[in-house]
Amino acid sequence: MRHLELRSGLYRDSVALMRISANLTGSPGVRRALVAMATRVNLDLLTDLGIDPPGHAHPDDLLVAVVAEDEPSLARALELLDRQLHPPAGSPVHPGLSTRDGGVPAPRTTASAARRVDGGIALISTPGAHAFVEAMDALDAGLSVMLFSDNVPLSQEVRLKEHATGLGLLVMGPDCGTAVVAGVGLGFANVVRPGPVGLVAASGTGAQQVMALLAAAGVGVSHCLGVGGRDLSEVVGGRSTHAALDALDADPATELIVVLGKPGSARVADELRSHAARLATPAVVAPLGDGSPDLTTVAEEVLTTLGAAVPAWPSWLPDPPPSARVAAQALVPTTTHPPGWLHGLYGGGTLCVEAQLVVSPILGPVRSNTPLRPEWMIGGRAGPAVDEAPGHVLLDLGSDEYTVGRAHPVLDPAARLPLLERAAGDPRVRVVLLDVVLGHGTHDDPASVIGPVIAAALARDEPLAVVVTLVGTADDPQDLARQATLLRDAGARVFLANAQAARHAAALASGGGGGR
Amino acid sequence: MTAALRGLLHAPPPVVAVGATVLADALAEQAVPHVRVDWRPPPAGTEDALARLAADPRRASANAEAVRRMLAAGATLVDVRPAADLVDLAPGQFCHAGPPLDWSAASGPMRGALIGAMLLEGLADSPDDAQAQLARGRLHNGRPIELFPCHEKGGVGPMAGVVSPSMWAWELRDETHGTAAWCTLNEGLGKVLRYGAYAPEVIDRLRWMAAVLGPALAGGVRAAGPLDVKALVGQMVQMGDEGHNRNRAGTLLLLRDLLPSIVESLPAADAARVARFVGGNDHFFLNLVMAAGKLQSLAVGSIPGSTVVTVMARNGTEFGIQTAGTGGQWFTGPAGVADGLYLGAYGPRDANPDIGDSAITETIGLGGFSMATAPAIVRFVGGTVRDAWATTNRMYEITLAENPAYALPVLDFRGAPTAIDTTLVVRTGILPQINTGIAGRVAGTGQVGAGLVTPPLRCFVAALESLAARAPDG
Amino acid sequence: MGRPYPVAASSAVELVLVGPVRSATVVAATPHATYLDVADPNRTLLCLASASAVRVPCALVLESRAFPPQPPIGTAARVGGGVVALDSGGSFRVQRWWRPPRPRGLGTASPARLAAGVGWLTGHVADPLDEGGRAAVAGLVALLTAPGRSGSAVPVPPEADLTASVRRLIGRGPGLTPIGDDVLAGALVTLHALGSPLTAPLARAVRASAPGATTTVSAGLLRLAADGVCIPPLAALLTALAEGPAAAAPGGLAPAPVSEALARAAGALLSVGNTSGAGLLHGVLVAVAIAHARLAPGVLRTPTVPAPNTPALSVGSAA
Repeated sequence: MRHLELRSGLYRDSVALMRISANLTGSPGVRRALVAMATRVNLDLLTDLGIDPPGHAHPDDLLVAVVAEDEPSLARALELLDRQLHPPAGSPVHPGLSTRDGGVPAPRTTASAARRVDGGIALISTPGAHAFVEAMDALDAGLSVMLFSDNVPLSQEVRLKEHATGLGLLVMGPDCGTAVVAGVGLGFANVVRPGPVGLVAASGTGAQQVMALLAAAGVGVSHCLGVGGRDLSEVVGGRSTHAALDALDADPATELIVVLGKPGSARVADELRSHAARLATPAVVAPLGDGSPDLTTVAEEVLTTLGAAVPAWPSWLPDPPPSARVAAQALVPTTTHPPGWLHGLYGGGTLCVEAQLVVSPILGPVRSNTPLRPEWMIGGRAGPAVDEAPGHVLLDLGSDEYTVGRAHPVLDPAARLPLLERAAGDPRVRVVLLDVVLGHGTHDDPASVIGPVIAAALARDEPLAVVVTLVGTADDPQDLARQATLLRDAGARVFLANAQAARHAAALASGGGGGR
Repeated sequence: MTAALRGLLHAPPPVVAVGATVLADALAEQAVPHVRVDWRPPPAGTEDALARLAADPRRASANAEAVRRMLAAGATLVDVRPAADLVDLAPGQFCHAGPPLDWSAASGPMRGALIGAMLLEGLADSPDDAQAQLARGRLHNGRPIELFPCHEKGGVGPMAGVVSPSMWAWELRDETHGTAAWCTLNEGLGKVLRYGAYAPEVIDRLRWMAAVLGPALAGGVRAAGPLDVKALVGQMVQMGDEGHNRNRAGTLLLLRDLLPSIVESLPAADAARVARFVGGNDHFFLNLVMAAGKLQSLAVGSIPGSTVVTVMARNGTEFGIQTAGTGGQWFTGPAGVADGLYLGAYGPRDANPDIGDSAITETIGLGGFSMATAPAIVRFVGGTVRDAWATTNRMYEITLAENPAYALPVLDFRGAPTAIDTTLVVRTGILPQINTGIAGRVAGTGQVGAGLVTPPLRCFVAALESLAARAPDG
Repeated sequence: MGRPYPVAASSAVELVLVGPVRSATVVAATPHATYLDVADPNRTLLCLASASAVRVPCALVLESRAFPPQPPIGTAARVGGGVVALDSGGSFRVQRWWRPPRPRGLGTASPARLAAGVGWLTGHVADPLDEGGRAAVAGLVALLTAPGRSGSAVPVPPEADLTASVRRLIGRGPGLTPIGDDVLAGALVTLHALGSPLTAPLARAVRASAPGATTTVSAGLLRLAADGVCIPPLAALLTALAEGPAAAAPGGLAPAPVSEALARAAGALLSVGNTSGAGLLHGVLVAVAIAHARLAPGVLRTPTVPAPNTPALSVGSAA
């Protein structure tokens, strides 16, 4: 039976609504459910549910559409919906939390909220068109900004960073997914122990990879300051990067600074290097690009500089090699695997790029929606084009074209699974490579969601290997060891280091043994 | 030596989280003290204007200056005089409340008041004659009949707010900024001109006010010396008044200050009549609060780049606002009908759309903005005491400052929420809450109830766009 | 049992929190903090604290300003694997780490700048010790500043003497953290910050003397001070002391204006606890007296400010 209603006077952010929709769909007896703001795009989705769009709907209304088996299932679903939309105050979501500040209602703007704190950071993740106004509120109130939002116009980014420079504050972002300030994780962030390394990073998952590797080696992090992907461009001029460098230099707890960047304009890159050289604190500048060292190598260089031992990077393999010596040799597969195509399904953009950089010298052309060369571009706004492109393909599924109207794969591991199944269904694909990222803000048990699908895929007749990069620290709430074990028990070959995972995957795809 | 990034890296920072709840939940999971913003998107189509204004380098200091002036303005009662001495009005020219208006669009009470004013000034023989001239827009002698907002003539008027030369008015001065403002004397309750009544008793009362009341009050004020009205307002909000819909304490404070000199300067019977007149009208002090508010508004003046609202006023048909950054330009929309409690057998169908310059009180943080300090008001406008509290707290979200001169005891002496920011109204969708009397739709009916009303959002969106158009590029 | 409360844990107590599960006992409780004594080889002290409590270096901090219902003293608990679980109900899981302040760099501040700050503090803050405490402090300072045999750069007093001197201070005072302990703690943190070679011997003496001589809570906090970590208000005071006044007074006759930051930091530190803040601040002055006794005697006396009740300073300068 089909149920459709509109509720007005409610606003919930899109991520929360996607979770609610998913929860309702998972409710017993419910076939499909859609809970979303009644925009035209979302109203169009109603036809998929076999429901006619309502006559008068305003984008400010909340659309609720449920297809259920029977009356009781529908009632349960609607009850669940009410609980999710209006959790009771002081609910068991978080014990000891007060939702109200002594009877004063919640602030409605960042300006108002900023009056209730004494300095600090504003973490802004509104839709990009509205982020600038909230960010200016924060800066004017003396707060630095972590701008998680993407789709912020470049001119606004420049204005924000100019304003911040004048006020002696920092803008992290836009499109900054990860930051850690004095142990506080902002956005998608892993739990790290305080330590001597301070990171400045243009990207989220790249920083997460380095922090995870350092943590595995017993080295902690003082801070990880994100600067956004465009900071080193000619127009922005590296403002946030420079401010971050100076702040880390002045921080007594930071003994080594690591700059993980996307290569920007040559002029800005030069200024960055000379600034880094002038700092009192030693600095390692590591842009990720053709010819540059991969992130694992950067992490190893950091450890060596600090005088810490470089460990054998953790891996969890269903068929571990018999001797430690072989294990140390970039974990070359011991069983021969018939050659075939490599398909990568990445949530982390930087990890996807790094994988391409590692894999391409071994396997040749690698197609992608964020390719190393323009002629290797595939896909488009229409959706996945995996089955259209022959050969090796590494997709960045966190990229805009894959996340319009859908959850980001880091938040919702299930988002990638249809693609995994499709790859498994293609006998020409011999190796699937994907990343699983842990930490605060992400799914609380991704291995339980992905594991069964991996196992099912591996059960196919033709040989298939699944390689997983698992980015996390031992302190992460998801329990790194347990996630790794679950994935390995499902048959995946799990690596902490993405470069190793990619190399292993490439070796498998090229026919086992052989290349490094 | 200033710390880098203001000491951001020294210790775990507190966080303000706005946007996706999953990220705020992640903070709670990490035991990070944080404040969540209850955010929702602004109306579609306003994002660009809001961004332009957020980027305007003048805005922060312009608004700070507007706030400074609004809070620094004083209000001293210096005299009581005929409007002829205070306002430049030729025969056939009248002031009225709210944004510009012409006869064809005027509502019942406004028309009635204009008819009464024509009669008072001897420009018509009868109500019908007055109406005919007003409709023609021309006096019998050919002079045009012209209508001006009180605001544009340096004053304010309650309800219909019609002002003609023979009416007496309070004269107030802001000694800090050297400005002056006026407001007509309050006629009392029931059948009065400001509600559109024009019967002979109304005209007679106005003549008495000009002949006896006005001069008596003038004598009292001149004998007592200038009266600090701002200080009286500061006291009344600590006695359960909010300055728009509840002025009982203020009226008594005024009477206390003026009575001795009135008694000394008048024969006993006249003094008694004056005292009875003033004391019998719980809203007598409203007109002084309004004039004090006009002084605060005038103090701000025109400040390029400022988004602070300086005027909110209604003429019974339209609601109009002005901002400091757009000078004397009006931004109007349809006046709403207040939602509240009705007297006797009256009901919503008897109500006139919102009318009066008394929204100047909300413009300066009183009235609906200070409802929490006047909990008894809910008996008249509806709702609960908790609602009154919530209303004031909501108003802090759309204002830039708190006025320490109007400290509200029930909120631990927090200053009244002052200086409405146009951008905050549009961003939050929170409209200024006005606490008002409701006039009868039919001229002369009088007050039919009291309730709560808000301006139309359209006024603020229009003002926003005008402000954004004036902001410098890029 | 309910979901565990998320807490932010100090890296100073990392080992006992992530290690194997051990038993612990609640030894003290205030409205905002509950102290646990852990049965590990180091007898680590842990503190479950609300967000409004003073952030001691062994604190596990909750997000909220309120504190969940306190367990009675003597309640057993288990600590390890990232969790603190009380037998009476309620568990706390480490979800984030923070680094306690470890003040350094005071040693590079010029003696004149230090003298100005110390002089102001001495003139504006009363000595919190009683007569016996003052005598004990005087004895300790004398011991640590006594000139050595010729040829030794910085003489270290014999361990036994130092321990005996320290024992006269430890446990002196009625509170949960006796004032004598607070003075020692403040002195230890400051000596660390100054980089003084006397830090290690004094720290050793304190670690050896504390157990059994004072409350369990204070012994634990003393051990942390011996490691050089402290509460944020003390770190802020030491920073203000190092940064000194904005500019020297012209003419050099009147004392240099003391920075607003120092006055503010002193006020903030003094408001910690009942007397703890005052004890810590006094410890700062004692440490400076000890470390700078080698310098010209007059350097710690500011000429125009009378210095009441400063036997520590006068003893130091008499050396």
